[in-house]
Amino acid sequence: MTEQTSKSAASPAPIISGRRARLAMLLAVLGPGLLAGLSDDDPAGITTYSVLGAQFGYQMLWVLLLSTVALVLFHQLGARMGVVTGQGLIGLVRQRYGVRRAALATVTLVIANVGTTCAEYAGIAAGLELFGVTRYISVPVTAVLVSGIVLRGSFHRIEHVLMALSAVFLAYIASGVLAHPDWGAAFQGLAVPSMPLTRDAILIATATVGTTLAPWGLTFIQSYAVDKKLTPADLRFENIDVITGAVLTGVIGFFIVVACAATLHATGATIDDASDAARALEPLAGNLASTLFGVGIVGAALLAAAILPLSTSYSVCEFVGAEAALDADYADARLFYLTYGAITAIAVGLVLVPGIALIPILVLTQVLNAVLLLPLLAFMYGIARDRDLMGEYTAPRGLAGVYLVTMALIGLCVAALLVLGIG
Amino acid sequence: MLRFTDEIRQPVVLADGSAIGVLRDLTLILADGDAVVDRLAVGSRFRISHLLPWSAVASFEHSQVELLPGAEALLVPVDPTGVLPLESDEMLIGRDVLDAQIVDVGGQRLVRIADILLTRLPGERLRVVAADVGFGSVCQRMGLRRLAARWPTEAVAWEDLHLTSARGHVVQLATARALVHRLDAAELATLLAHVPTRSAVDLLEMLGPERAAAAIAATQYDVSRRLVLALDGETVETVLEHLPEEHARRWRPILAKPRPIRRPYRRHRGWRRTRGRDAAT
Repeated sequence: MTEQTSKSAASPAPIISGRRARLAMLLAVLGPGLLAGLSDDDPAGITTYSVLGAQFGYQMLWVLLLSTVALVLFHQLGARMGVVTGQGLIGLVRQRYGVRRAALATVTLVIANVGTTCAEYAGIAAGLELFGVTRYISVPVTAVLVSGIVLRGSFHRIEHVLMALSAVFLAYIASGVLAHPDWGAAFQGLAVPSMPLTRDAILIATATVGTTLAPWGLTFIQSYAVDKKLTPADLRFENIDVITGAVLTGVIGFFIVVACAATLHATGATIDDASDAARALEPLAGNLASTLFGVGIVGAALLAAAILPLSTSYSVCEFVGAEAALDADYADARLFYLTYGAITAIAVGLVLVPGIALIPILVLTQVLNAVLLLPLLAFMYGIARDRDLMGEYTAPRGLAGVYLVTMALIGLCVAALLVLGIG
Repeated sequence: MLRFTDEIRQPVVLADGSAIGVLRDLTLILADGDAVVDRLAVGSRFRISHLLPWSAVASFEHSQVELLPGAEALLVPVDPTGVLPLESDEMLIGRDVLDAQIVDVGGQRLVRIADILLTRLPGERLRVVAADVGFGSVCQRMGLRRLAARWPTEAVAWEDLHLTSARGHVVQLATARALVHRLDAAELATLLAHVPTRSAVDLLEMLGPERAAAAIAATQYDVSRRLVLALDGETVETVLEHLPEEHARRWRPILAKPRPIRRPYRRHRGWRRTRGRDAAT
């Protein structure tokens, strides 16, 4: 009896410590999924979601839901591949598909990422111009700040800063609530697929898929999981991280669409980019909603401007086989740091060139991203099914079927984007 | 010296001249310290269909691999599902080693393997001698030959690489970092001393005159003599220009003497002269 009492008295402690340990493990693992997911909500993404809401109201929210499902599937796969093989995507592509395909993928990725980084700095410039700061101050200062944090900090410090930066996305949730949306219509749009069969509707649907699932996000999540030195034992928690990141990405997108649907769509206002949306929100949803929207753009652009060159550096080093780690010294990871600096410098330089037409650069970037997405997904599928590489974590037939169906749908979207976009 | 990526995809033909496929890969037995090629993987452009022991090979040339009569009986078919009937300690050079990540003993990533250098042993067998990690080989494989020529071969001796995990994982091969950058003259000299003259000459030509000269200067006299005499006239002249003066001075009189390869011609001339004299007398 005494023994039983003592056992029962002692038993809660391990349970608590077990829960605490699990929570501690989860917190330790959190990062790759959250950062890769949230950085997809960059200024280009915010613009796409704003246009989706402003033009079509709540009707096409289901596209965002499907994009989020695709994001969960492929980010989960990317993280799993990184954790199991200890290599980034481009490294695995070189090893499994040969040097030519890997080189082609790397070169395309680098060009596309330079363009996307341009878009991020253009977003920072546009966002801070809302608050009266000229781009000739805002862009160089933020570039130095972001590069300084990433290049000089330790892995954990950088991760904490980036995660703190992600908190800025709460601004969109607040902005959406302040717009007083019709929640019933919003949830109906989310659950019941319908869309007008017009060129604009198809374009915005494909753009939504394209902006949610970006090639640089796929390469980033895998390489970052490697850099974080996650092991197969962490996979359970890593799945939670990926799902949380992807769902938050979808939720933020949802609130952006909802904010624009409740205000801009209701009044028939048209917008060209995210800063237009922020300006247009002011008379409709109040100064606070507009300010929060603008703060969100700047924060999102800062996060993506930090992560895009990082994703590029990881990929270039993966191709060459050089060290790519945020904790490494410059002497040990020269190529990694030089690539980061070069991508940032080129992007900043392009944004600051007076009178440069950024639109063709951004269009080319979108086309390159669309062209690159499908081959990357196909490479990922091949690696996921390779028993020699993935061992016991090889994708089973059922899951492989889901990947194939998703890839087919994304293929349709990419084809539509290329045909309608060019036409 | 042969490059693995130059040798694969050549036709494999039976003794009667009929092709059975193309060379897809070569296998090594890990337990075999000599790293001698054990089997050939033969198949179509898309998949490996058969494994074949090296004992079935009559000749291994750049244009084709010719098999001995009766080699058909030695073909080991591959399961239609693609699972290769490899021994537990057997690996494929192309699949398992080419493009693998090299890390140093501390686990830091250094470079990827761009090509595998093979040499011919007496009896035509092939042996892996080094892993090429130079960017030139990457360019070469991408078809950028002019660009490739600008980069020197950077090799790591096979003995300095250690397989540390299964296929495709980050720690595939480990080496002390200094070895990766390139073999120095002394290490090249050791390599040159252990490979047949034909392979050594190929290696010297690949290294370029400066590094070839440094390697020759570091070899023992008998090895360097064998190599210098085997190099063609133009190459040996450029190598001599890069040799330290005291070495160059040693070789010039030796090279000025009639070289063995020219002897048949001179003998022929002498024979004619003698013959003519004989005829006159």
